[in-house]
Amino acid sequence: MIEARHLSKSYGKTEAVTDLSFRIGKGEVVGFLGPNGAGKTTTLNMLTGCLSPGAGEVLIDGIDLCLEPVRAKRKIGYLPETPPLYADMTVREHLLFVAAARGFRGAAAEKELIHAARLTGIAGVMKKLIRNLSKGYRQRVGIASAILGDPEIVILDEPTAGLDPGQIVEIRRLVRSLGKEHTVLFSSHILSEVREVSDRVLILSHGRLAADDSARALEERAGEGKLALRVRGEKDKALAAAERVPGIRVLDAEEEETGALRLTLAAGKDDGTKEAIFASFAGDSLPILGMEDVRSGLEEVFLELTREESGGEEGKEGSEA
Amino acid sequence: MRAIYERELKACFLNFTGYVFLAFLLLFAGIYTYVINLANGVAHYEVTLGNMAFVYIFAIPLLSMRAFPEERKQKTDLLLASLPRSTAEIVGGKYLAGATALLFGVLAMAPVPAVLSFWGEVNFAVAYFALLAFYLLGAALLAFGLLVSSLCDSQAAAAGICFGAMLLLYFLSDLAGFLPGTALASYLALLALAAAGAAAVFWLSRSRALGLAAAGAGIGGVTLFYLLDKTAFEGLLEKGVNVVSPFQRFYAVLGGEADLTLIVFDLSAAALFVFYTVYAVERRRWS
Repeated sequence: MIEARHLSKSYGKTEAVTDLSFRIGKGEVVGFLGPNGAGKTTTLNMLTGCLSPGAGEVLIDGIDLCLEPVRAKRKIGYLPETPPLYADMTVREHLLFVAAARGFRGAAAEKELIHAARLTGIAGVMKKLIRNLSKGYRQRVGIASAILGDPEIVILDEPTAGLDPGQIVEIRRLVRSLGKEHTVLFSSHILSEVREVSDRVLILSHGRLAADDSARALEERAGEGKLALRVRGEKDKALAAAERVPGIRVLDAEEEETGALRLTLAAGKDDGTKEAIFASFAGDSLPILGMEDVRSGLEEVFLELTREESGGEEGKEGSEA
Repeated sequence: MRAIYERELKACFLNFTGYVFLAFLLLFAGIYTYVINLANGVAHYEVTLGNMAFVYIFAIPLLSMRAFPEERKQKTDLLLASLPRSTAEIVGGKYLAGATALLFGVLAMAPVPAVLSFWGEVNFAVAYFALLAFYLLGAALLAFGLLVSSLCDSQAAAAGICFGAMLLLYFLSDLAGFLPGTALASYLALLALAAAGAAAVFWLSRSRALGLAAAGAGIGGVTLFYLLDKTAFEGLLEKGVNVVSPFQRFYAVLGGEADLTLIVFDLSAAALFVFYTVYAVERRRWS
């Protein structure tokens, strides 16, 4: 549905995006993560035809966005970071303009308006001037503009930025519901939001794609090879039992208030390791109360993948945000 | 284009600019009609129009300054860029909306020759062609104002630069009188013009090869003609400036009946500047 091929964009000597490639299939909800200045907004602007790539190409449902922009843009609805709204118009006038620009007039435009208003919960403010709306409602009107005409792809740049917690929950719910009928790509730096809403995560670091997988897979990958073990028994005896197992290294040992011992082990990827640990501890009469794989949080994955940048330079995007 | 046109026209009258523009235009039209036609008993409306052409120096910046800076300020330029509409449609819609606002003003002036005919003999063909020429002059200048607006990020800058350019265009033929009439001066001026044209080609196309080709063709052609016939270059500078001066061309046709060359000139100038505006907007997307 969306395919970015070797996208690059520079602002003067600053490379905002470098050789970025990915594909997003029909019906996927994809979160786009990255610290400030990572190139998220630049990428989204290139994917929507608002900015031309310095190199590479964008295909929307197989249509080259640079060669056939009008045809490709019919399939895209875009909400930039700041909702682009005409403050001097009422919500209804603004949406009718967007509908007309998308080729809907008269009854067809009304139908689209009602559908978008129902989805975004703005039916009650249709006659209000946009300049008089709260930030939350402006965001909703921006989303309504993006989904007017039912485009197959909806791209949202930080749709929850600056909203209060109640509004954030509502917008997340809306994004999730959009995912039932549309391909959705949304950017955020709120990791829990991405985990909650998306099927897949693209992590951008320094203008390059640092990771592309589901949130769960990323978390598992980061925690790969670590085991958490709860045993009952003396600490020295337990440590000796663990170290007897080939390929095992004790990373941490902590006594719990219940008297149980909690061990964190570097266990490698050998499938037989858990059986070997069980046998070793059983041999020393140390009952194992629990054994589980350690999963890192998405926060840790994100920090690990974008670490190089944490002290880093703020690119053009940072100043735009 | 229709959606953009309707939105722009509405926006023009949702804020003060459309009303101020019309009030300004009609205020001066009223004053000049009273002073020239009514107070002096002159039934020639073309004289009034000729005298009030200077209002465009102020009116065109007022009408064109919002077109693009306001979109950037509200970030709605991203909305327009993401809609399934071409840049030509967006620019065309904006231009036609401005031209329509100008038309409202000119149409409000249209009954004046008919009213004057009650007190004197009015040549309607001359009067209404003058009104058409007045409108076309404004339409051509509006296209230039739109180009300036597309290059600026603030309305104040767009208005200021456009005002300066209008002032220069208004006095262009007067300034031409100070230009040297020698063949060499004309040759050097044409060389500078060819170089500027080549720079514009380079700026628009971002192609060094095209820029160099345009420079070669321009400079080479001018030099060749100069070597073949130096006498043809004498006084050419002043003549050339008068040919491209829109105000001078407007004054030249006043008092006469329909002049197709003026219509073609003004429409071509408008089309050229709208084209440059499309290019300037596209170029910003690529920068």
